[in-house]
Amino acid sequence: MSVSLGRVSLRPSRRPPLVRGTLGGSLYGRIVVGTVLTAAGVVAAVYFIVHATLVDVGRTWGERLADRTRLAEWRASCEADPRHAAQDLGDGLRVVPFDVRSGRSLAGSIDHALATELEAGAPSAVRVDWLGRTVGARLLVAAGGEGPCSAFQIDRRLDHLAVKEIRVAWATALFVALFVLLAGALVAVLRPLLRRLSILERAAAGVGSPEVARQVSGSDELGTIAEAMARAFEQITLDRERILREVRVRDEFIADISHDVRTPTTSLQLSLEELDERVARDAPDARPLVRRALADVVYIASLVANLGMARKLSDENGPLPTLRPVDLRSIAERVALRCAIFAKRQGIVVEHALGEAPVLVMTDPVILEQMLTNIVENAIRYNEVGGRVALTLDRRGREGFVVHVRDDGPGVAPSELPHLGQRTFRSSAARERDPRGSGLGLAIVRAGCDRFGWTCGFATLEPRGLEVALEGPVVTETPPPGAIIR
Amino acid sequence: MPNPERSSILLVEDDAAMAATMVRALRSSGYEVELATDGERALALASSRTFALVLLDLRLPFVDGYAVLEKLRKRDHVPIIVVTAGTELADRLKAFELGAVDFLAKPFWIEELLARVQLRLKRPKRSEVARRVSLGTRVIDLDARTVTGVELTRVEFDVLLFLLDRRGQALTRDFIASGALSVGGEVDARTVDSHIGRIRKKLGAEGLFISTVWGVGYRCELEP
Repeated sequence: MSVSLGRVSLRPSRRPPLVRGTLGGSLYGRIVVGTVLTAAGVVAAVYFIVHATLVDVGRTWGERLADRTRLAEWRASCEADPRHAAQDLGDGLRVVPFDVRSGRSLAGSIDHALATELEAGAPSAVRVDWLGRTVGARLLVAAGGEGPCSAFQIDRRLDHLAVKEIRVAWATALFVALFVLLAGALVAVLRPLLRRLSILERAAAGVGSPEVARQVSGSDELGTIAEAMARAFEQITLDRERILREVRVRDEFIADISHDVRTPTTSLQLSLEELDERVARDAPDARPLVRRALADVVYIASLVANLGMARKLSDENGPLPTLRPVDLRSIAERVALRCAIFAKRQGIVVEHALGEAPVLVMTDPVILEQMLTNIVENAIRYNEVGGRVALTLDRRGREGFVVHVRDDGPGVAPSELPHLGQRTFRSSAARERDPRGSGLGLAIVRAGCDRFGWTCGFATLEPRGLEVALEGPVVTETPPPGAIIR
Repeated sequence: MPNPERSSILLVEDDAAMAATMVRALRSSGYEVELATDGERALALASSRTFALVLLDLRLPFVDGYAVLEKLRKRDHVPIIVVTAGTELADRLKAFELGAVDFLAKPFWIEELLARVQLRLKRPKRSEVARRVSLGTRVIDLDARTVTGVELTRVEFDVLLFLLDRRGQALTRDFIASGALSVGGEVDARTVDSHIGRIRKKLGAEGLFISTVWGVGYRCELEP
């Protein structure tokens, strides 16, 4: 059989790097441009609204001040002496006459831009200055007729407080407007952003689903990240499939090896068993050699079985073993019988007391059998000729069971007890007795207990020996007879 | 020697060395054995005569072991023990589903093979417990609840009876306590020790029939 066990590696993608978008296309650029435009728009809008309002207020005020009676009075006064007709009316109010046709005045300077509007036929023209150094309003109004007193320019300068009030009002209005608009803009920008982030989050949670990440379309940073994630997911999916394929090949390889090794091992074991019978009869001196050979065959068989089992149990992401109602008593009896034969060949006695009634537990019978075999075989392997091993099964009240495996072998130092069952750990006594050994056996016992929800305890015995205890719940409801595995 | 009519075994095994060892062991235990090294031969042999038991290896050339199992079961009700190198539960379940009565996982021991075969061919019937049982020189009358020459309390007699009923079997203290002492409640397993101690003392020489089994508890021996 030729099987390639390829190495598992994660290679980075060799695709070209993703190109970042331009300023307008990037998320950053969009936010900057969007913010500047929004701010400019808000400022302009507020300015025009405030300005138009003030112009309107200024015109109303001016036209109310310069009613026909007052215009007539000013005209009469002006015509008496046009050169000195400019007059201060107090409260920052100043009136200057001028010629509506020429836009010139003999008494002071005239706002030519506004004068042009009057010349064009408008009854009045207004300017409001509320942001410059001189804050106030200017109204040009035609008084009728011709000459240097045919129109008047009315200026009103505002005092400090009024100026301050206007500026505070302006700033407040600007601030409120900016706040409202920015909030709106943020919502408008952030909502789709959050929605896309949420899709990305879903995509990240379900690694291996590139199509989810691709739902976040767009050429900005988020779109770029989503595309990168989608590519990474594709790579992860490919790698995962490759790894699973390789693991499957490895598992099949181990299973095939395990299967193929069992047949010659059986043949060897049977031959050695026959040989042991003959040697015991004809050449007892050679018996230790046969015992050693038998122990080695059993070790090889258990190593192969444990390799496959360890592979199954160590795969935390693999399918959990299907737990079924199993008669623990009958499995333990099978293990006791098998191990007692091996033990007898090693000059060790295995006793068992398993009660009479079935003890139903939820478990995987194959794993359970291997667990019990490992414990009992360990007790035999590390014991000496004349040693004893006991396998017992008792109920713990109505809802539990306890399996004990005791031996009077060299035992384990108390300081080493907590490490028993850790992968690759072997006690110093075990190493001394037999330098080979993988430490897999008890690791499988621990892992099996974890899977079944059982506990596994180790204790030293006086004057020597080790006790292993497995405890767990029994099935309290009677399953249908066909469902029980014995 | 087992009755040949009841003890003819069909062994289906393609590995020559293993088959030879199995045949030798079975024949030396008094069974008549026919060997088939492939599925077709097995089916042919099975249709030509009746067997008391079939030992069937599941990995066979030409015809798959499961197919042989299914065909054999359809033909008659011969008990079939499958011999398998498979470690998957599914393999075992499939074998049971197709009608196997037991399985023997490779690698196995000859003694194990013989024990499994014997279990199927000579299922011991649970005999009626004799109403009078001898223990050395003493006779135990189960109806009168007496032991010659000894006065046992009710509880001591219950414990002795429990052990006698299971003569030859090792029993845990918990098992003895729950079977012989517990009346509607749990009994400390160590109480068993004191009862056994008193029974041994009262029985004198016959007390040696009750041996302590290391790591387990007690056993009523067949011989002292």
